[in-house]
Amino acid sequence: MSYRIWKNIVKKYNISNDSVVLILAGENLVIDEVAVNRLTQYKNKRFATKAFVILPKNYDIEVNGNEKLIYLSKKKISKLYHLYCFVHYFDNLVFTFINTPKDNNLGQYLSKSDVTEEDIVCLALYRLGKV
Amino acid sequence: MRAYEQKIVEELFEAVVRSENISGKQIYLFGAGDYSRYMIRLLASKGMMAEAIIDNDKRKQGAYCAGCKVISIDNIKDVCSQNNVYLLCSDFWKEMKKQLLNVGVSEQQIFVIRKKELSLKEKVKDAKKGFKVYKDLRKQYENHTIFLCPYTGTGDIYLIGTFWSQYIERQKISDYIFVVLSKACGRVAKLFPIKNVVTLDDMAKAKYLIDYYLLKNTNIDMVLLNDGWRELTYSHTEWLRGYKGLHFTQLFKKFVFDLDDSVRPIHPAILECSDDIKKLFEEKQLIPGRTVVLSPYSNTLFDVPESFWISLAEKLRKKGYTVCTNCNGDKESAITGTVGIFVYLDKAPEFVEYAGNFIGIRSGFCDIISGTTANKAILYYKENRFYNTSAFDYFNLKGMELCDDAFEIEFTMDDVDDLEERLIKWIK
Repeated sequence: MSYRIWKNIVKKYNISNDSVVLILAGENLVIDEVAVNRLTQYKNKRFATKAFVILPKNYDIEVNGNEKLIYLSKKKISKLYHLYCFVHYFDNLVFTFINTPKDNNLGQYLSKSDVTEEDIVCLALYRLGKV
Repeated sequence: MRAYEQKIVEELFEAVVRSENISGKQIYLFGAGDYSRYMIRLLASKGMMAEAIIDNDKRKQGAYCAGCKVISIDNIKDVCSQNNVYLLCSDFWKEMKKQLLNVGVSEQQIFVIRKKELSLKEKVKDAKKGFKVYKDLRKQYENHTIFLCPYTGTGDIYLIGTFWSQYIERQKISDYIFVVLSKACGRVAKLFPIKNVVTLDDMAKAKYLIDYYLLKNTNIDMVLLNDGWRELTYSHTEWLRGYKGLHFTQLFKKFVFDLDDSVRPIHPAILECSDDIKKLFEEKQLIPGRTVVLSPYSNTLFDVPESFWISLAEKLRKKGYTVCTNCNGDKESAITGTVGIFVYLDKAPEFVEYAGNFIGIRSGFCDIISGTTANKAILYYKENRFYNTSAFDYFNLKGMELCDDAFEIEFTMDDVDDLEERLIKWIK
């Protein structure tokens, strides 16, 4: 079921290996904003030419770049994430969940250390190697 | 790198060697890390050597990984020369390949030695195998929380052990099983008051078990005792290792065990020397309290030339010490002029305590003997990076709160002679 959601998106938007896809969890607005702002860096790192942002319907976030926006229900985003936790179905895909599933500790790093949202996005989510 | 991964990489490597003419070519690896280290070992088994390891991280360039120089791609004189081949064994192989193609290297010169991603169907199949592993554990230990340590690093298990009692007490968990992936890890766990230690006989079983755990969206009574593992697609925390003071002990304490900063690791009590160890000393003619245990091997860090150890051992003998090498006979041999000793890890603290002196390259073994009162010198290769920091900053025993009486030294390949002098002065 979840896999079908992904396949439909891939087909409809012609997502291929030269694309990067950012999926916003809507868990932490700052993380989501930084991820959107830094998306071009991730795209360049992956030698991609196209960028897509999948985000929850009615999510109040500013996205000003050239990325293609795809709105999905939170439920569908959760399904895609659950599937991704199980099987790595696309290389250039980043989710911004920081507290789920239970042993995703990124949220705790924010609250219990000096690590910032920028650090999390650049070093952990995008693996850019620097902030 | 896990055993089942090594097996896959070895098979892929063999296939490349069989089908392509790479011998006689200049071989470049890409990415200084565990995979390249393993590739160097595989190449050596075929009588081949890598020319260098390319890495884009400027902090790694100029350093050595398993004796092989780490360079920037720009350092290769003629990157497109048909005499060059590039072996890519990394999670980032796609980016590496694109980078090589962009500078003009041809497809034919690039060999990807990397396991393929499993399909959804294959993952479900593995998860089903994991369910069987889970059921087998449950048969024996009904209603027990399963703690899984998904790695083979003995130092990691030791660190967990030092916090275990405090963690279990705070969590109010009394019925649990502690699952490890190798007999060596099981032996380290036995040093501590850890109940129901279960060793999985095949490392792939741990992978299957985790697949089942993920299929169930982590909603089973199982806890992964880990600070970040790249095989979990959602676990990104490993990339923050060493960043802003996030070092080994701190990561386990804060994020694996949710303990306060004030909590300190607790070593297991050092047992009085057993008759077995005493007998071993007698047999090998080692002098209690005047023996230096050399530990030259490390799975994760960089190597010191053997000539250094041979010379050091000779000088120690001249000072009246007996010298032995802590080694596993199959893959690791005793330093020339020393006695080769293999002790099980649960005996290692009492062995080193009885010997009185220890000099070793930083490895998991150093964690295990860190609670002894023996004189301990721990060596760190200065240029060795570990994620966002130096290996020294991340792993030094003092910073890890494991001991503050060790002589911990950073060295470079250029000052190995000076290192020997410092060690000889230190040992009295």
